[in-house]
Amino acid sequence: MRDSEIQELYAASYRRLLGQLIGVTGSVAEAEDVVQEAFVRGLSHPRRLLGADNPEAWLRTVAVNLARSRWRRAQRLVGLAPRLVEEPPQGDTDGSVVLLQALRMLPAGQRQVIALHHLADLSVEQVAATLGLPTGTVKARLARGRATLATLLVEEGNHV
Amino acid sequence: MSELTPVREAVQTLASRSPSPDFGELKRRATRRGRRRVITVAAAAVVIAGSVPAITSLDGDRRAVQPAVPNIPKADTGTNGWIALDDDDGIYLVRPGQELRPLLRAGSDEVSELCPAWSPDGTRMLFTRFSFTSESPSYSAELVIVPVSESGSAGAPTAIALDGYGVPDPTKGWYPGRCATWAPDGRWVAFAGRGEVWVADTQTSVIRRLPGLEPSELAWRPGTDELAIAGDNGSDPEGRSLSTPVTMYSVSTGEIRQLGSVEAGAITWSPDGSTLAYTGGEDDPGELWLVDADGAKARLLVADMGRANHGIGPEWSPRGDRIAYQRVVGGRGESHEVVLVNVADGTQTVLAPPSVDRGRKWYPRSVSWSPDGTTLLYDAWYELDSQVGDAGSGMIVVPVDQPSRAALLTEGWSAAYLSNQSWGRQPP
Repeated sequence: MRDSEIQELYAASYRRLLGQLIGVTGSVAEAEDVVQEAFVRGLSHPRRLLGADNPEAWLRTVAVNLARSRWRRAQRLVGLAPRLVEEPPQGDTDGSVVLLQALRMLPAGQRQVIALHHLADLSVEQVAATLGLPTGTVKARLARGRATLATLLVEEGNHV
Repeated sequence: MSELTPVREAVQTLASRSPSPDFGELKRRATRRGRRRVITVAAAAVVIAGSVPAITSLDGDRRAVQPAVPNIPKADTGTNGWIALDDDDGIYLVRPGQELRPLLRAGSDEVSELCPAWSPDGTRMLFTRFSFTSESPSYSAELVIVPVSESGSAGAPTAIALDGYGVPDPTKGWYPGRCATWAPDGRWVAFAGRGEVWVADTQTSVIRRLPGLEPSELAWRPGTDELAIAGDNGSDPEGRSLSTPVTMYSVSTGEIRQLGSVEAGAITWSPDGSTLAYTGGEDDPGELWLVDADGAKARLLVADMGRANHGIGPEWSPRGDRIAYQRVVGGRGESHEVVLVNVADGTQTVLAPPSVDRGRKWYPRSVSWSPDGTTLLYDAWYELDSQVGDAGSGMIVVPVDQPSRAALLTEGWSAAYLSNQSWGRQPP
C-alpha cells in the first residue's frame, strides 16, 4: 500500500524535483543521483516520507542535503573547474546545457538559493530553513547570485 | 519575463530529457540496504601480497624503500588547542568560547584547501590543496604544511606536489581515508589516493605509493612507525566500506604484512599502541573487537553496536579508558547517537543527541576526541520540528562526563568527514 503511494508520488514529482536539483547542483548526473537516493530513503522509511506534511518537500530537503553534505567536497572541486563541466552534446540546439554551464559557474551557495527560490518557488524563509541559513544571508546570496548569473548569461549568450 | 525564466526552462528541458529510472529498481535499492555484503577475503589477500614489490617513489625510482630511523615521541594526552576546519575559502581555527578565525585564505576561487590535520605536537598543520590550472586545464594537488603559533598565527607554508594523485570523482563521493593523517613521529603522513595509499615524508618530500588499496581507514600505531590499513570503499558510489584483512606497513623497513587474521572496515589504536579496536564493514554485524598489536588474542568487547550509516568508526579516547562509536537512533536512517564503551569491562554509556542552542537537538555525522580526552567534537546537524531531515549544520563540543554542558562551537558548518586530528593539542 505504501509502496503504491510512493510510486504515485514518484510519477508526479520525480521530474519536477530533478529539475530543481539540476539547479541546485548544476549537474544532471548529480541531480539524478540525489533525487533517486531521496526516493530510496523514502522507500526505506515510508512512514517518515508519507507522514510528512508535504512529502515532496521532504524529498526535496533530503535531496538538497545529500547534495550539500554527502558530496560537498567533490562538488566544491567541480565548482572550481568551469572548463571541465560537461560539454554540450551534439545537437544541443536549444542552449539548455549552455545555460546549465552558466548556472554551474555560480558559487555553490548562490546557486543553491537561486535554485530553491526561483526554480523550486520556495520563499526566502523556506530557503533559509532548508539550508540552515539566516534569511539575511539568503537575501544577500540571491542578490549576488542574480547579478552574477545575469553577467554569465550575457557572456554565454554571446557564445551560443 | 524574469531574467531567470531561461534558466527555469533550461532545467525543465534537461529534466524532461533524463530517463526516469524504473521504480522497481529504486525499491530494490532500498531493499538491498540491509543486506550484508560478501567479503572478498581471498581477492584482497592477493592484492596485498602483490603490492609488496611494487612500492614506488614519485621520483620514478623503482627501488627498495630506504629505511628511516624512527624518532617517535611517547604518546600521551595533551592540553586542548585549536580546532581546525576547512571551508570554501580556506582554513579556519576555533576554540570553545572564541570566535572562528581564518588561518589561511585560499586566495583564489580556483583553489580549494581541505582536510586540515594537526601534527602530534600541535605546532604544524597539514592540509591538501587542489588548484585548477586553466592552462591544462586540469587539477593539481599538493600537501601543504604550515607552522602555527600558539596564538593561532600561520608561518610560511611548504608544499609537496602530489603528481598523479588525481581528483576524486564527484559521482563517487569522498571518504575519510582521503584526509591525510600524521604519523606519531610528526614526520610521515599517509592518505588514500585512487586505488592506492600514499605515504609522504614531510621532511624530504619523498612519496611512497602502495598500490591495490582503497581503504576506508588508515591508523598509525602510536609509538611506532607502522601504519594500519583497513577496509575498502571500492568504487561504490555510496562509499559503504567493506571489511578487508588489516594490512600493516612499516615506514622504516618497507615491510607490508597482514595483522594476523584480523578483518576490519574501521579501526582505532589504543593510545599506548598495544591494542587495536576494530569493527567490520558498514553492512557487517555491529561488533566491536579488540586484538593485541601482533594480531593475537582477538576478543569481543561489544556484541551489538547497532548500525551506523556514516561517520568515523570507533575512536579510542586519548586517555585510553573509553572508545566512542556512533549508532543509528531508533532505526532512523540518518539520526545517530554516540556510545562510550568502557574498555575495561565493556559497559556502555549513551550520549543522547544533545540539545544545544535554543533547544535544538543535534545529531552527529562524525565525532573526534579532544587531545585531553574530556570532550568530543561533533560535526553535527539538527532537525526542525516542522521539517523532516537535515535542517542545518554546525560544530558542537560535548564534555563526555557532562553532556548537558554541550555547546555550539560554530553554526552553518559541515566538515563532511571529520579528521581525527581536527582538534590539536596546545604546543609544548
